[in-house]
Amino acid sequence: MNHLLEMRNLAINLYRGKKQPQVKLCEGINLDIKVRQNFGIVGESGCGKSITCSSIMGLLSYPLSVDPSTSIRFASNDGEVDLTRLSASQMRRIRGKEISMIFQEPMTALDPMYTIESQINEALSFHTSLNRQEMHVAALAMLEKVKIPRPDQILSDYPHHLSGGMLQRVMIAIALINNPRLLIADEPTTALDVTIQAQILDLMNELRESYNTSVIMITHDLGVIAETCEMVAVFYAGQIVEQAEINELFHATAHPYTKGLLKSVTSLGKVSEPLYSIAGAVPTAGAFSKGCRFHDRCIACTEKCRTSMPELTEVAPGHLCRCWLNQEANNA
Amino acid sequence: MKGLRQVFRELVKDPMGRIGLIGVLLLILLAVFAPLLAHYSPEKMVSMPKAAPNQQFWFGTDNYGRDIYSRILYGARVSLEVGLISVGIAASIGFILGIIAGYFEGRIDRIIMCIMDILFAFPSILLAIFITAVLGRGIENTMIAIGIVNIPVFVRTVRASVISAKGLEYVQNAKSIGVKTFPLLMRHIAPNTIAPFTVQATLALSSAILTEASMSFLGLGIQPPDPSWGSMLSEARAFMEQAPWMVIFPILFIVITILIFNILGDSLRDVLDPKLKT
Repeated sequence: MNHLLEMRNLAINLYRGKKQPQVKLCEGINLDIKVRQNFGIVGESGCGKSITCSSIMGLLSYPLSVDPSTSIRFASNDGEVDLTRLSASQMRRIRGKEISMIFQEPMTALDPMYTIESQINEALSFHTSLNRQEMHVAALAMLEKVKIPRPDQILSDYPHHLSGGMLQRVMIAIALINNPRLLIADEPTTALDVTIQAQILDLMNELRESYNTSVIMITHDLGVIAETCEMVAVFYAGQIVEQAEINELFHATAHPYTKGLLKSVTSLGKVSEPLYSIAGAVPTAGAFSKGCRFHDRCIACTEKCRTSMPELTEVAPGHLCRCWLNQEANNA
Repeated sequence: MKGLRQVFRELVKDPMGRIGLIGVLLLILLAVFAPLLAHYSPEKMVSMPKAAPNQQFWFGTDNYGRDIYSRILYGARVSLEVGLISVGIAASIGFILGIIAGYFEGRIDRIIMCIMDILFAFPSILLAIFITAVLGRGIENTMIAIGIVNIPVFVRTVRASVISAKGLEYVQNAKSIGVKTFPLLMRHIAPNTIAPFTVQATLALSSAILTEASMSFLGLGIQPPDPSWGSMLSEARAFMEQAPWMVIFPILFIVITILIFNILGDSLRDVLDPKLKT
């Protein structure tokens, strides 16, 4: 296997009781994450970005479940494993040690009952056999690496003593302390203000270099993607609609949805124009039409789009797109 | 999460909380020091039957000539003992079942909640009577019966807070760093149940005391000659017109006890769950 993570045909089911059929919230998602790659996932709220990553971590819980047909192969330290076939205790050994996660809201992602130190120790004690003193040293060193001032004092603080940016640094420290191979960052900067955002992103880039960690960056902010990622997948309604290298995606955008997203990015230069937005909303899972899932919001919708679903096909080397327009253009 | 000292301070600040706290404290003192405070043994016949309250017998005497004041004090012991132990049984079993039901959901949850709903459907006295009928009379069996009757409310309270705690981001985060299920439950989820759990326990205490009194009144709880407010009432029923003090004092104490526990419970809820305050 030449990738760190190979996700094949991910489908996530929503159980709605015995009598109702299961709804597929995501389907046919393939992802390949290379070693040391920074992979971006963009999309609107509710299009399946977060649950895709939760399924890598094995964190989906009733009524959500990963479809049995899915395989998520991961090159762990003990060789290649399929994350969907691991037992609960095997999965726990991977979580926090080889794959870690950073959450969206640093203010709520730490337990208010415990000090920063005991929460860092929690990550250490489950995966290493360090004693208390050694854990203290490790925690201190890690806080220094994420550039927290006065680390020894911060260790004995409670989460409510710290600001959002500081907490996010603590979160990054906890996520990276066991030197994981893959870091999943679920909108790590959404809850922070812009200056802190930039600092956190810089920090993540820096640490990724020094730790050799691959990162999956989930966000709905194309600016964040442009700044950090090498490869981008655009999600829409539980599917990948476009996937390309960062420059290709920004300069040779193929899918109408991605075009819409790019157009809706605001810039300081054109204040007078009204903000662009894609009309309509993401269709609800279970109410998808037979055709392209984007057709009712698409500006270039044709008859074909309404009746049959386009496949994800390569429009240029390494550039995948799920749209009839491009496929016809290629065929012609 | 508030520290114990802060909860206590806020409780004292609230006038109702102060009343509840002092009342409960007084009641506990009365029960603990009953042997010192009582004038006579609760089972000894010390005077004429049905003597009206006077300087020697503060609350009068009953139809066997026993001092009602002394019996009330010893009865407070029985009430508190039954209340505490039965709530202890209900709370510990309810806590475990509630955590299991709330955390694991799915089939286990449905089975547990189904049994709890069945228990809940019975009027509590009826269920307690049924259980004592199976187990036999006596103070221990009364405690067990009242304990079982009170399990469902605890399961529901704990389950509800576990379900809401389970979705909290820091619980997901703890999972994502590989914390095992048991430490996850104890360290990160259980503390979220403490506030509603404590409130529930205080309120359950008053309902347990009431159930005990009702069962003793019906002759199924504490057996004579042991003093119990309920059984004292039951004995007094026949003499209500000739010796009203036999009825008045046990009733007074039952009412006051229930009232102060409920007041304490209510103000504890205000302190522990500020979201409910309007």
